[in-house]
Amino acid sequence: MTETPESGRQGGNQAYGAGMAASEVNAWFVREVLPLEAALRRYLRTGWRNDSDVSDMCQDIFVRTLEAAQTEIPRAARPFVFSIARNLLLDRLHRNQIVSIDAVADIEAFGLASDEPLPDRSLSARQDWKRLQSVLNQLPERWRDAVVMRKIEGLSRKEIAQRMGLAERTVALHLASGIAALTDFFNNDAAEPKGAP
Amino acid sequence: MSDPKEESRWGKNAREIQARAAAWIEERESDEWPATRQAEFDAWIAKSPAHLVAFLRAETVWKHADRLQALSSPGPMKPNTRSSTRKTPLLKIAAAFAVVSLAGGGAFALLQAPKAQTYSTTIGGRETLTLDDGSQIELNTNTSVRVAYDSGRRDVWLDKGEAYFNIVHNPSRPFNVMLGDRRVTDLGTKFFIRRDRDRIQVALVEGRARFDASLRPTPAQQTVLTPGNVVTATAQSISLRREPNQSLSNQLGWRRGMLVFDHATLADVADEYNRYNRTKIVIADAHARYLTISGTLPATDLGAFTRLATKFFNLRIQQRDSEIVVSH
Repeated sequence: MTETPESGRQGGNQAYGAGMAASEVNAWFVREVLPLEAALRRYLRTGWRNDSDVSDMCQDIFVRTLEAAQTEIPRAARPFVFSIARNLLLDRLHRNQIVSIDAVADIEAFGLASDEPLPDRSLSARQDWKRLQSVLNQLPERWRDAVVMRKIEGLSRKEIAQRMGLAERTVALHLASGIAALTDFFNNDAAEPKGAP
Repeated sequence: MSDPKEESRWGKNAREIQARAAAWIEERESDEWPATRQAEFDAWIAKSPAHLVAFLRAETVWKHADRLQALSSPGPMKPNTRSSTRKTPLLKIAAAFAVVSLAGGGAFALLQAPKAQTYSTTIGGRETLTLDDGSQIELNTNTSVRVAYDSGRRDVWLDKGEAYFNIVHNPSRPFNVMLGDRRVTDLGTKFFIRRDRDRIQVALVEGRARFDASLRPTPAQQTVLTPGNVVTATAQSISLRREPNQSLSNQLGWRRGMLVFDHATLADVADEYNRYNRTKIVIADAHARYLTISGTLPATDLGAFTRLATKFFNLRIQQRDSEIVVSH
C-alpha cells in the first residue's frame, strides 16, 4: 500500500498524533497492522458470535496495538495483534460472556500467531482493482456516485453538487458516508451495507 | 456485564468515530480548509487513540481507492453539467423512539406462574415424558425436572441430571428450560442438557435453540446454537464449541441404555457408571485411572465393567458393601 499515489489536494505523509516518532509509528501501523483486519475479523467471528461487537473489538485491538507501538514498535505485528485478540476473548470468557473455546485454544492451529504473510496480502494489481470495484458496487447508489465523481473524475464538492443537483452539504455527507462504508467493506469480508440514506 | 470504564472508552461508538474520521477526510480534500479547521482536526486526533486509528484506517482505504482511477478507462467527460438546478431536497430526520419494555413484566410472570409439576428418575432410571403439545422429554438417570405449561408459555426447570428434549416448536408459546440462572429457549429443536453439581452442558442435535447466560441477558450473553454446538457453563465461565455428530450421538447412548466411550480414561468410565448405579466404582490405583478405552457398555450392568477391568486390563476387583474397588 505504500506505493499508492497520493490523493486529493492534501499532501501525504503527515504525522498525526502526539509523540516524537508519531509518523514512524503511524506508518508501521498502516503498513503492518491495518492489512490484518480481515483475518482478525475472521478470527474474532469464530470466537465471538455477536457480530455487532466485532467492529468494536477490532477497534479496541487496534487502539491497544497503536498505544503499545507508541511506546515501542513490536517486532512482529501479527503475533502481537492476535495475542491481544486472544486475551480480549479470554477476558470476556472470564466475564461470563459466551466465547467459543475453539478460537481461544486454537490460535496456533489457525496459523495466525506466526509471522508468515497471509495469502490475501499479495493481490495482483488486477485482482486489487476488481476487489475495489466490487466493494464500490456494494455502496448505496448516491454514495457510490459521489465517490466515483470525487475519486475517479476528480471533481470538487461543488462540482459534484451541481451534477447531482444537491446541496454541497449533502454531497459532503454522501462522500463521508461513502468513505466510511468503503473502509468497512474493504476491510471486512462479511460486511453488509447498512444505513443507506 | 461489561466493564463500565471500557464501555465509555470504546463502547458502542466505533461507528460514530469512524463516521467522524470519514467526514474529516472528505473535508480535508475540499477547497475550504482554513488553519482553524486544521487546529480542530489536530485536537480531535490528539483527543483519543481511537480517533487516530479510525482516521488512519479510513485514510488508508481512501488512498488505496486511487487505484480505481489508475485502471479505469475514462471516456470523454463533461464535468460541469449545469443543467440541473433542482432545489435541494431537505434531509429528512427521522426521530427514533426507543421501545421501552415494562419493568413490571417479571413480577407479573411470577404471579401468573402456574403450578409446576415435578418429574424425577432414580439412579439407573430412565423415563420419557410426553407433554400435551406433543413435545417429549427423556429423563436420564437421577434427574429431576419441573414442568409448568400454560396457554402462553412452556417452562421447564432442569434441577439436576440429564434430559433429551424433542420440542414441538411454537413461537407464540415459547419453550424455555431454566438451569439456575441460565436458560435455553427452543427455536425448533432437539437438544440435550446435562446438569451436574457445578457444570451445565447444553448440546444441540437438530434445529436451533438460544442459550442465555442470564435470565435477563445482555446481547453478549445470548447465543443461538446450531447443530453440533455444545455450551459448557460453570459458575465462572461459559464456553462454546462444536462437536461432530458422532460425538453427540455417543453422548446420547443412554437413551438406549448404553454408555459409549471414545478414548475415555478408566476414571471417566467409572464416573459415568457411578451416575447410573448405587454401587460405586472406586479406582484405587493412580496408574489405572489413566488407562483408556473405547467401546459401548450397558449403563446398569456393573458386571460388564468388572469383566473389562479384569480381562482386558488385568486389574484386581474387590467388592465391598456398596463399592467396587479397582486396583492393580
